[in-house]
Amino acid sequence: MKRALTPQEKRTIRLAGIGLAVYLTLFGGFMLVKALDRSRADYRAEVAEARALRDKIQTYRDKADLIGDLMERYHMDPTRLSRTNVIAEASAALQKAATEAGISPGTIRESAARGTGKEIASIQLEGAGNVQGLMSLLYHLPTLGYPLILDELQITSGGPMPGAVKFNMTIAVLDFEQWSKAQAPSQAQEEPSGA
Amino acid sequence: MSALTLAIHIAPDRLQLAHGGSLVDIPLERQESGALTEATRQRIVAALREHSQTNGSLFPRRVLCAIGARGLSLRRLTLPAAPREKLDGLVRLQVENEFPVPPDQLAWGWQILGVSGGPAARQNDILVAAVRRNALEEWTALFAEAGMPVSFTPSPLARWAVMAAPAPDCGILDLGQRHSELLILAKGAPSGVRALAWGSETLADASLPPIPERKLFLTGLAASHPEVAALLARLNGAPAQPLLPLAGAVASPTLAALQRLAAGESSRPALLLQSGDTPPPSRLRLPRQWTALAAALALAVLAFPCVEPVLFKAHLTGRLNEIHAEEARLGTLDQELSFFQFLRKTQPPALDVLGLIVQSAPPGANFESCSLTRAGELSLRGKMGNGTDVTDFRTKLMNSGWFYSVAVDEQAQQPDRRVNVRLTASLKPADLRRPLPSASPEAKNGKEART
Repeated sequence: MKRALTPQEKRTIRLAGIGLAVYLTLFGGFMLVKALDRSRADYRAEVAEARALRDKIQTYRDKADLIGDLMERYHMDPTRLSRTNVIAEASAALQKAATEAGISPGTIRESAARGTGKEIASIQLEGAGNVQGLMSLLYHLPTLGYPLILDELQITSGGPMPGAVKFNMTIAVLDFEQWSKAQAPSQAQEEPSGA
Repeated sequence: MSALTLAIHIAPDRLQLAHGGSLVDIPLERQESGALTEATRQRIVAALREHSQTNGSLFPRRVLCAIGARGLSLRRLTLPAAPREKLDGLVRLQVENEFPVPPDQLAWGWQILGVSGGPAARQNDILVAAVRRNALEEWTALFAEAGMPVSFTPSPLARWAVMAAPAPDCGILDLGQRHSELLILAKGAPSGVRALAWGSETLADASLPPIPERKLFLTGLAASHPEVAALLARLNGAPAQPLLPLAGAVASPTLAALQRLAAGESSRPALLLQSGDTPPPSRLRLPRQWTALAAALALAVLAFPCVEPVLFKAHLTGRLNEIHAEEARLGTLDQELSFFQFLRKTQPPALDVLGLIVQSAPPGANFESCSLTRAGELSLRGKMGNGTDVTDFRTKLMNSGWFYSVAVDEQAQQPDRRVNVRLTASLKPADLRRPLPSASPEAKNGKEART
């Protein structure tokens, strides 16, 4: 048979219930505050990361503007250069530029790169003409739309006619793909130290 | 007094407006029909507009307006205890029974005077006050024209609400100049009200209804006058006693009572008359909504740092992941930029070097061959007039600031006294070269473009 609780027992149970409720409230509140604090810390870290990323992107925006100017100046987009065709196209462009400058192109020799890794080939061009034509060719050489570097230039007298010259120029054709591969590891090494 | 509330007393012959310690008194001129004249209306509206705005508040002041006892009816009701919402409906039913006019045609209000009975059968003692609704319509329109919200309360009840009752059963006479108001108390609460058409200036017309226990107390400006007291003692059959004047910044006891009611300094709330379908507020607590709004805003500000991550973290994480995925493209930009920079630095300045040779060469010089390499090695072979020309040419090349060294590898005099010469020179890097002296800004730009 169930015994009725005495007032003293009821009071004890009531106090115990209140104590338990207070404990659970405090414990739950502590856990909630802790979870919120962790969430806020994560959020702040992400906000800081987003700000750093924004600053980084701003610098790249400036770089992109500079690259745009250089592309316009050199009439060239390196990412669109095809490694298989660049030598033939550059050679044809050279001959065309020489002809337009009033120079008679002579022997043209193409040879493989000399092992620097940044060049795909070199083109040797012989020709004859006057000084003005040679100057015009040299002037237009960087803006032909191909990554050409004048490796060597030899000019000799072209005969008894005043201003007549013969020339022999060696032009290196750069390889952007090889360049990218060579740059990527060095960037990968720089980034951890930079971070 | 609350700065948001303006106290106004409408007596039969004048309107009094209290603002701080100042009193505005406007006599009421009426047409034959009983309506206010246009000039009086304009004066009242102008006075209301002048006092409608409070400093630092966007909203106009509320008006607590006391109306006279003319046309006012009082009833005492006893109703079972109930929540206020239910009690409102019960009182409305009783008003339909107690008054000859339907509640819709009345401006009426009620308040609980006290609770009686045991715990099992508690009952509310309720006081109901009502006037005909059309008696207030003119004033309601006038306050609306001034853009001020208004609450009406009977002036005898306003005075009673702020004073301690001198006796449970008595009469309280507010003595005006030409009109007076008598409030009759029974068991400590109002049981009847009379509007009397005489005052301190027309005592000859004075008459009094029966006063409970013949206890008459006086308020008003002429309450302490001996002639008035003597006359009233004769009419009542017992001496009338002046009540202490109501404390207030203005002389009118009704306005002083309104100011204390608005400031919440009364022991009882104001009994407000409901002139429309909306029930009147039981107490004048105007800033309550603003307090609640301010508390809600403060809570939102405090809670925002905790809620912000929950609301925005997912979106921010998604955006960061998208940007990280696109980050690989940034490497391509770096490669393109360094490629162009290499191209610009490595290109030998053939045109500038040839131009420099032409500028530095002495008259009559004849070059048979010229050679320039990417590494910056320059080699020249030719003829010059004499040895001095060779020295001058070499000096000019060195002074140009473009060469580390200029060496004469071979110099031989020919039978025709001219000199065969072979020179080699080493070109400086681009960043160490001096700008060409003859180069104009346009030429420099052209040179930069070429290099």
